[in-house]
Amino acid sequence: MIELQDVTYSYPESESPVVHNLSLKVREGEFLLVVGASGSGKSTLLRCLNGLVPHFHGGVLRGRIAVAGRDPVAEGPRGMSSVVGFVIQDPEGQFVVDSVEEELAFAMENHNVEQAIMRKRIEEVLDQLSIAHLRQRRVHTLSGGEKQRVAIASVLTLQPKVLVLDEPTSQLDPQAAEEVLTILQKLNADLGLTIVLAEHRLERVVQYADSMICLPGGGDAPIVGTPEEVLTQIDLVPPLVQVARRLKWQPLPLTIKAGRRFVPGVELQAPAPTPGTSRTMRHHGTPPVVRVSDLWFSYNGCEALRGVDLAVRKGEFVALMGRNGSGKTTLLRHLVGLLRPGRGMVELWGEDTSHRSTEEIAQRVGYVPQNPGSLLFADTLQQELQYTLRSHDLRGAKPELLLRSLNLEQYANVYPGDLSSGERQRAALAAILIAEPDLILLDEPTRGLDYRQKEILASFLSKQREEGKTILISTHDVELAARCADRVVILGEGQVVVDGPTRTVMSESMVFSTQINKLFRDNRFLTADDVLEAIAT
Amino acid sequence: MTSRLGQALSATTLAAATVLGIWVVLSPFISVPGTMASSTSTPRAQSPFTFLVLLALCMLVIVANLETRRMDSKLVAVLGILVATNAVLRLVPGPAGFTAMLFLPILCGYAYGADFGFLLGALSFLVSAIVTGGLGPWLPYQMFSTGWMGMASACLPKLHRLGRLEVVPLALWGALLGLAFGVIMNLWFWPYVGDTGQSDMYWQPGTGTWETLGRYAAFYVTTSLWWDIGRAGGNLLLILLFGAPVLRLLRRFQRRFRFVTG
Amino acid sequence: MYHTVTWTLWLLACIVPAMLTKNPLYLVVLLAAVMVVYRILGGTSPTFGSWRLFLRMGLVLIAFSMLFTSLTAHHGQTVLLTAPSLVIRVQGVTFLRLGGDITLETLVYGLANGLNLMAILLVFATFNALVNHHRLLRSIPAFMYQTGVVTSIAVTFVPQLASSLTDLREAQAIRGHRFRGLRDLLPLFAPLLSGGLEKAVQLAESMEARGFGEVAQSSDRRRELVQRTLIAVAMFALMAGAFIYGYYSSRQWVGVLITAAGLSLLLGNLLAMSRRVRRSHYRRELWLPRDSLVSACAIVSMAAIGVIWLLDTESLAFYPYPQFTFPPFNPLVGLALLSAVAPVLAAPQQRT
Repeated sequence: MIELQDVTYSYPESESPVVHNLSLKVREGEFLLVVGASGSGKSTLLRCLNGLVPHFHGGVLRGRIAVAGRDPVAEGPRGMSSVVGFVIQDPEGQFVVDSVEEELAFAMENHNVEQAIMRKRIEEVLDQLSIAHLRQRRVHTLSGGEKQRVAIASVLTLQPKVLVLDEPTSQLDPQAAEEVLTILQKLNADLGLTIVLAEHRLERVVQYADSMICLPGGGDAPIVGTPEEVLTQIDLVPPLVQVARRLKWQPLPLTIKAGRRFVPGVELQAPAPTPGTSRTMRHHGTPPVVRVSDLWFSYNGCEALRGVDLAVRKGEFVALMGRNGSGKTTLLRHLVGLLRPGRGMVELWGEDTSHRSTEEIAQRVGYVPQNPGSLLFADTLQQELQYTLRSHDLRGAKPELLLRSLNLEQYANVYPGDLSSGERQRAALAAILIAEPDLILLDEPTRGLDYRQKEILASFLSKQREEGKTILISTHDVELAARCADRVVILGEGQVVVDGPTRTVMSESMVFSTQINKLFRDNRFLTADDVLEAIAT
Repeated sequence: MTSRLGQALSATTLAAATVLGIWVVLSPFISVPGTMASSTSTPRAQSPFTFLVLLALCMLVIVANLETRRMDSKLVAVLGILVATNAVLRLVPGPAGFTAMLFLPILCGYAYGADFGFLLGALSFLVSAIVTGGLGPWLPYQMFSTGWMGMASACLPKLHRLGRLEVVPLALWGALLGLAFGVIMNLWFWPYVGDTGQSDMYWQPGTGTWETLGRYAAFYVTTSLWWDIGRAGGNLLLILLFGAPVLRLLRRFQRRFRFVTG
Repeated sequence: MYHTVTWTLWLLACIVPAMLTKNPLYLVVLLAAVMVVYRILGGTSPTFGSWRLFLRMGLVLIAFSMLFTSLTAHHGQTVLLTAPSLVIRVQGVTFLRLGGDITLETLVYGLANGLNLMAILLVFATFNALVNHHRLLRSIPAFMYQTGVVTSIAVTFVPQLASSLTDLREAQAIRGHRFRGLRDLLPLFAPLLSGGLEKAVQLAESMEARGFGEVAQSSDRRRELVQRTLIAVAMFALMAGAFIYGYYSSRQWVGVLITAAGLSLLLGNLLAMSRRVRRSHYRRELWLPRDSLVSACAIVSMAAIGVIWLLDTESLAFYPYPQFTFPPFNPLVGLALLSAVAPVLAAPQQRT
């Protein structure tokens, strides 16, 4: 179905090729997973398949590409559009018409498809993606997952033979991502559609893939093979695979179910954690940094918070978890004064904040919202930091130190818009933390980050905590919470459902638990590091 | 060769549309020698209707002229999103009802060329009207004048040489257009309010014209002079303060994505 | 409720007489009909606020028009009162006369003018409340499809950009930024623009990948030149026609002929351009019998008014000078205007 032979491509104004001598074969009906660090050429590879590279982006392409017997380089993206369906990362950025049904018709209109056939295909696609209930909706009223499903539907109306998706779930929360990935799996299994998917949430998708290609970047040869073969050779893998590789489990398990079979044969020695040693206990007696008492809030009649009580002490690292709409973001926004309590009180360092402006609160509280791009506006990262310092009337802070600890020092003079999503996330963090706030609030800090970027972020946050900062994050990412947080607070329907030390909460939960914990069902092992340490001793 | 001819043709069409458009917009003030003879048998009540139709035709011609060329998808997407940005800027309340809707058409016309400037200006008001449900008889006037301003900004000489001072002439130009916009926008209902029903008063050359102008001046001062001064000043400030960074952004974007206009 | 085309015809049937006549009686009939349509059919419209705004604007304009006309125009014989007057002369030429004798005629004429504006405004306001703007946008003619796509994209992105503007405002607040003046708007404006431009590139990719742009074979340069030439010629004909009509009243028919020639050349060319656009159009709107009914009504009404007006251009005019007389009323015109309530009569019965 897809064949690439010695493809080399470099973007215009760039000396080194992004893709170097790449050869690849994909059979009909195959599900190919493309992985690799950001900047390794994943997106470029995908765009080669429908001619966006080189037609849209310019540059020089050498080698031969054939998709369903056609040549994307000769036909260009428009010619290929009936063969290759292409979906991009940002669910917001691909709508032309604002009603779902007419958006679905857009591609067919371009191909001059008859009205009767359009009607028929739209009905089919609405059913295939289970979005028939959305047909009359305006696209801006849809959730992220729904938007992405509509985007997939809008390319399927041309009945392409290949569906190419560039990180379609990276901007989505886990539930929405699950929806999208399940649909893909269904399309692949039921219709035999060939799927090429770039994705960094390996743990969610790797079991569906028939084959996998890893682009290491930096001119190294790509690794191609079955998921098991590839996963044994690459660095950035889910915790399950990390542990399985270390324990030499064969064949490599890709799901918890497969991994559970190996667990009985494993003998691990580790001291049982005692609840008393949790960091939380050590801080009794000092006044809490954050105290939220009986907090209520509603957005136009819809109650988002219903009597939340929470106290966070100095030096604690607390993870707020819970499904979408459970009030995590609403709570964080209250802490920094972007929202005002409907009832109840928010105190910071023992002081009621109801009469403080956000700008005043921001002097001591650093809040990084979900979309880091909204913070950045200056021409260079350096100027960005200077701007925060000026806003806070701070002088003499050391931007270089902070940038170095965030692995950003080489970007000090780069336009923030040119950074990758992980770097941008850290740039936003830098822009907030340069003011040295005592309390750090992060909303979904790991959304869209790959394993490496997550690791950099996690170790940075741990270091901040050691320096005595108090940190509160809202996250869906159980692995991050398990690695960093002392305490987990689970919200549900605007109320605190569970509040306790990370280890206790996670080992007692099935949903808010890590892969490793699900694998061993043992509260001594939450992260791959826990297991690896136990093996070492 | 052919493309140069095409551009010349397009420029001619635009010039003719501009002349007719301006004539239509200013016709209440242009003393028409022949009209006297026909006296009251050409009731002035028909003129606003004719104006509106002629103005709509001018716009149709300009759009049709642009449509003869195939726009690439980047151009269509960038235009669409800038139009949306501009329409959103209208929702941002400024001091004294000031809106920044001329800012982008002027700068984009200057940086990206006449076609771009025209469409950005004209469509911004259309989109804003569609979104807020505010279609009205003033729409052709708004679309024509803003579109024309975007187009005219492309005719400014390229001022790169001035370096940091580049924005100063642009800002003055913006202030001028801000005033002009107000003058034109009053004209959509001036034929109603300004019409006294006595044709000698309204159309007669000589003293009649002066009185018409005087009445328009009085009308202008009482209705919109202060808004227009505010708008002109706002444009001046906006371009002085943000002209440079926004132009930098537009040009950087054009380089980065090899984005082709005009 | 009705097809977009039906509503557009209705708009034309209302707006043409509204712009042709200043007779207060006709205007009041039209206003009443339009208000009935709004009251009965548009009550649940989401653009309710917009209708109120148009109404308020109309009332203000009536008041302004009466005041302005009575103070600055000096005609009519029925003097109601004499106000202190102000005369501005520049080099002996009277530039402006304010006040003086306030006559009944000027007041009435101001009122007629105000009513006229009010009628135009409310016709539009009602149209706004009843038509689906998104469908209206979709019915753009084929030759303008590129402009149509631009507009459609813009309408799609407005809500998104508006909410990102809110995000940006908050993002700056949490960086300790206070909005003190115009200059502080840059951190709002720059990311809005750069974020938008980046979205545009993604959108363009997504559009190409769905086959956008392969519609007209305009790569044919010669055809493009022919089209441009024809448009230019048509434009000049329009201009020449308008000028001749305006300046040579003795040869107005020449102007009309030239204008008509230009117009037909333009329309023919547009038709040819539309034919060459190979792009289908997805339509879900149904044309029901009641659409035919209301459309027929609108067309008949337009035709009737047109014929009456062409037979005697004075029939729709209204002059209160030199002395106010009660405006004439032609029942046929009244009936034609009243037919604007057709959408209410043909509407399906609502179950209560």
